[in-house]
Amino acid sequence: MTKLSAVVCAFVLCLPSSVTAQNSVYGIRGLGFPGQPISVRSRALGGGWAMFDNFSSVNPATTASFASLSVSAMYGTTVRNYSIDTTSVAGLVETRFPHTMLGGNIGGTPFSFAASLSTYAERSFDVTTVGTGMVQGNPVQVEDRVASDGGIVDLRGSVGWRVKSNFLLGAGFHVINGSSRITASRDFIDSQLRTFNVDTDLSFEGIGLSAGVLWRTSNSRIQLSLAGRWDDNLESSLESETTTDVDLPASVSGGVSFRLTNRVRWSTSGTWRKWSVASAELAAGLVANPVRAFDTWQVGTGIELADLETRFPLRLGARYSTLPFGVSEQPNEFVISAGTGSRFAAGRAQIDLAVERLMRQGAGATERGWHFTVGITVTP
Amino acid sequence: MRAPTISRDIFATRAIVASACALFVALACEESITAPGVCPDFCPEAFIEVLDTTLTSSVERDSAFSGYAHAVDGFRMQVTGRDADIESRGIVRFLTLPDSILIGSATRPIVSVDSYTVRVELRRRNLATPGLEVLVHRIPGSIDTNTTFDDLTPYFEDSTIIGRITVDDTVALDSLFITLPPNAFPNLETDNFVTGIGLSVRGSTPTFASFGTTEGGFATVLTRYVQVDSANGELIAHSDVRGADFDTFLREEAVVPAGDILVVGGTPASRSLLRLSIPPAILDSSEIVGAMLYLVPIAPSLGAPGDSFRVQVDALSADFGPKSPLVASGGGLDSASLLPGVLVAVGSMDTVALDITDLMRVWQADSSRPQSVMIRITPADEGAILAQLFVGSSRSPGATPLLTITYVPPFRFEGE
Repeated sequence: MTKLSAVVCAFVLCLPSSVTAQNSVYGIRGLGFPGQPISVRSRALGGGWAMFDNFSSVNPATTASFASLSVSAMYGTTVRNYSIDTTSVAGLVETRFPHTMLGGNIGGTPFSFAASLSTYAERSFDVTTVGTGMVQGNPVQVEDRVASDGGIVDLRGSVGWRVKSNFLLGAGFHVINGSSRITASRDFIDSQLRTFNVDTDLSFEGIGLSAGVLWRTSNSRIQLSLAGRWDDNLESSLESETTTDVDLPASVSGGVSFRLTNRVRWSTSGTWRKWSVASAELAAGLVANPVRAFDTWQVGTGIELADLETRFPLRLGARYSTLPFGVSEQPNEFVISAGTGSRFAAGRAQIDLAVERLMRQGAGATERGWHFTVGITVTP
Repeated sequence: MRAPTISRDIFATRAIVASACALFVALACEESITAPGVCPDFCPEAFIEVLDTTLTSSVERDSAFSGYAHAVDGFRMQVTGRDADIESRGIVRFLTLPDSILIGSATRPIVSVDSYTVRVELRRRNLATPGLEVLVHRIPGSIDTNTTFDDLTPYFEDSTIIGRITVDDTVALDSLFITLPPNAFPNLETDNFVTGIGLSVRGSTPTFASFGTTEGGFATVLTRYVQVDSANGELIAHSDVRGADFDTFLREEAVVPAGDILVVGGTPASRSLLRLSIPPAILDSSEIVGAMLYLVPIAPSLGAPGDSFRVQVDALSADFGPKSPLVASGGGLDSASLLPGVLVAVGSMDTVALDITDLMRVWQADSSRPQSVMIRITPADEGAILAQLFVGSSRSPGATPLLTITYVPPFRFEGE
């Protein structure tokens, strides 16, 4: 078995059935909760390393960093709780596969390629409400359940060009698709009316382009990067019938990284997304209480303590984000993270671990949680 | 020779990998995302819209048909007293009694009759009326399906009473044993040993009682106790039992409403066929959560005093008019299309509301099924009770059948 076929097999085996990330109470409205297309290492570093990380899908220029064929996959579990007014919910647990990456060099040329599958927006929730409806002029107590299982995924194919040893360019093509299985039911309590139940599939399609650049000093002590991304409309179809087009945001990302000492590297990345373009379409058709889409900022920073001799590097990070969807005001998220990793199998494989403390708030709600991720990278 | 040792670093790596895997497997074993919604800000904008519509002209080409079950075919015979709005009488003819008794290998003559016992199966009564008394009358053994109510009126006088029993006020289901005197059937020989009895009831107020029949598996039984002359001149006691070979009940004619109306029940039993026209917009593209067919009485329902009866709606597996095969009669449809029906009290003028939701859902799933229904009383009661319902037809001004449908139009989700 050749090296390439082994990696492709490993990549296919790693392809998850559900490529979605952790959910949130802030993902019930709008398109869902935005995913983080970044590796476990970058997660542990608060996303600060994402603009320089060839195993993350933020900057296509990092594709040029693939010197040999590699595949990575990650697996994450979220434990969270939230409170809104007098309602408190605890013990919510989800397990997802948020990011998978395959990359390699093209035959000893300065060009490399990569393909990744990551969460664009997570749309899994299961919400029940009890209220009163009117039937034939009489009030009837009803229990409604609306559940969505699935999400929007981002399949990126990218090419990187190592123009010089310290200057990388890259471009990516994104296919955005996915689906969510929506279940809606209404039970008429103490009534002879039958239960209403409907299952339907909401599917999504869209495309996007991205490009990036990465420059580093000759000794790699300082790195700078810049990336931009443009996404077309997201077409959503209910039972194969096109229902609406939602404009997806353009985004601009930048990053800076310093190797402070031989053992310490500090990295910071930031992204701005013009999510407000989706507002009009999301509100269309709603007679009341339309969801709003806000432009978002995300800034992450992290510090890694490691050198070549260190088997278990220590990674610490923090990330602040504003979130795109809300009714009354824009929510935000603050994440503190930590992690480590280790090579094994004669250096051909690596395991990375990260734990994130999630703190989200805004629009009258607070959400707290833990996100545990483990990633495996194989370089045959 | 020492076993190979694992380096500390390799051991540590393996331990971390194993620990991480164990942690994630433990966490991943649970998936819990169900939570109460906090609306409107944190609820999905899913529009479950419930609509109602009342269709006043959805019933068309409706008709009533009679003759589905006759009293002689009934599983019970319903008997009311003289003071009831409709008087009805039970009549029973027994199998021929023998004129002699076979003892050993010899046939011996009957010397005398000691007594008779009639066992009547009480299947239902009005417990609200105390003091139920069941009376046994002597009637001709020549009764048959041509015998009318009026034919037997002379035989239901007090002078023809040959036995009676007072039923405990708490008993509604029991075997009643009524002893008749030896001379209960004085014309036994001239009647060729065929006996007949009539059953009537009395109560503190108008009441009724339903008795078992041969068709229902609870036939009335006559036992004769006799003295037989044995071969050596001694008299020996003997009994012989005869079941009914004909039993039914006869009712007086009642004044029924005239006009082009729908009728259900009675004897012989009537049914009403209704053909419905459901708007395709509802049937084809919505989910029906409730459908009620309302029948508006144009006169109080008739029947035994204090009785009630169940009116039900049956789906048709094919619409051939009055002889359409019903689903309940083995029309080949699934049990989901069998509907429970509704209880109606005798004398009631209340609107009869029949739930046909499940039936409408069957029609939604299979458009080839006829959108027609047959209204009738419970099959076990057809031909067995007096109850009769009179409701307006599609041609009855102010009393046309109504159809109310509660439905959810196509589901809409956020952004749709």
